Amino acid sequence: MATAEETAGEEFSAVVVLHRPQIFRFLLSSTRDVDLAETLTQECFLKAHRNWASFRGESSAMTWLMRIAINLQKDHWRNRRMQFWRQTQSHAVGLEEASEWLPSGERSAEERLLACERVAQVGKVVEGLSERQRTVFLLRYVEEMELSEIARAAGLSEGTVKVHLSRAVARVRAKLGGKR
Amino acid sequence: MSFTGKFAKFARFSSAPARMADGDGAVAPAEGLNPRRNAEPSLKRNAMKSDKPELNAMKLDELDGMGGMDQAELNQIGEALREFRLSVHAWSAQVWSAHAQNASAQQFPGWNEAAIDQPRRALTRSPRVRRLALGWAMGCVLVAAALSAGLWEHHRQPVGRAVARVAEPHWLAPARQGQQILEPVPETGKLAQERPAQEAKEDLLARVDSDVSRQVPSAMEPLAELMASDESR
Repeated sequence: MATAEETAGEEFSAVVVLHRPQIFRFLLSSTRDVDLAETLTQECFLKAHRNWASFRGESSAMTWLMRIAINLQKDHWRNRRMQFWRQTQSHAVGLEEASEWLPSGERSAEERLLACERVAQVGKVVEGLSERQRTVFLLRYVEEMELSEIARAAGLSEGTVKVHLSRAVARVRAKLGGKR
Repeated sequence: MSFTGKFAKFARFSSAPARMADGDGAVAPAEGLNPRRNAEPSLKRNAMKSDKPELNAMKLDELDGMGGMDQAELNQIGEALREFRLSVHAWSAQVWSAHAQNASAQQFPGWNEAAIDQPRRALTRSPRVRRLALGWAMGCVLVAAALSAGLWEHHRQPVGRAVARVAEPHWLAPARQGQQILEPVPETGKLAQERPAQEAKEDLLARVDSDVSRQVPSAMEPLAELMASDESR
């Protein structure tokens, strides 16, 4: 007969298998640094494992994990800012490089080129966003989370999330040649 | 090495990105959980099953709220956002698959072993504290150095002036003396200096007058002799 600890361990293993790639993807798109994203993903799941018993299921596991990831990311940048005297090595790449990974689909070469260009422009805009705007934007348009989930994960109200999204989209629109 | 170079070996523009455990390529949801727990589903279990259904359409309700955007523009931005999402997913999937190939994807084998994170914590916390302490120490040293430099400079200035005067080149001495002469003297001293000069000037004038009065032009000599004889008489 399985003990409660074993059961919790199995549950958590399932959560890891299910959500780890998505947490990694969010951290990768947010930090643009593969090594850092891997490290933060590990830390995220270690922290989640430590606090798994306190998770009451009031929100989805994904939202809970995403909240941990966002906080870890914030802590990381805060520590980086405090350690200004350290020569930090950043392996971050531009988000516009994501355009190189655009699936070709059934498009002509010209269409693909235009699509790559659009993706690069969006990537540049996302890089220029504030930390909070970028987080909200990525959660909405890359991770496709609902506004309520984003609000819970980022610790913001839904109204604030909408404002951040609206501003971020306005910048994308301006970059793509639309009216400001 | 740049990221692009590092992962250049992977095929780009892949038409079939690696499957991810999310909405785009869902891995089988949590299987093999305790049947006892299945019989009494908890909130935690419900949360684990699936967070959301697959979402294919871009969420453009935020865009609808923006004034002055026609359908074509809406579609263009929607398409750009969709392509961006696909790119990020493909990029992440490629990195993830490379990660899995390195057999490091299975680095969470036993989540029941809570002790696995203890050494990590010890390893990560200690250098952080050390770095923080080192940073503060460096900051204190810098502040102390700045303060002591200021104090040193402040105290050095009078000594420096004296040293400069001693070490002054000899050819500067006359100039300095001249400068001293040109410097204004007090009123009493000035008067004291002028008085002998004035007296000497008056003496000189009196002597000149007497000399001039004694020198008589030759044309007036007879008259002068007459006057002298009259005076003798």
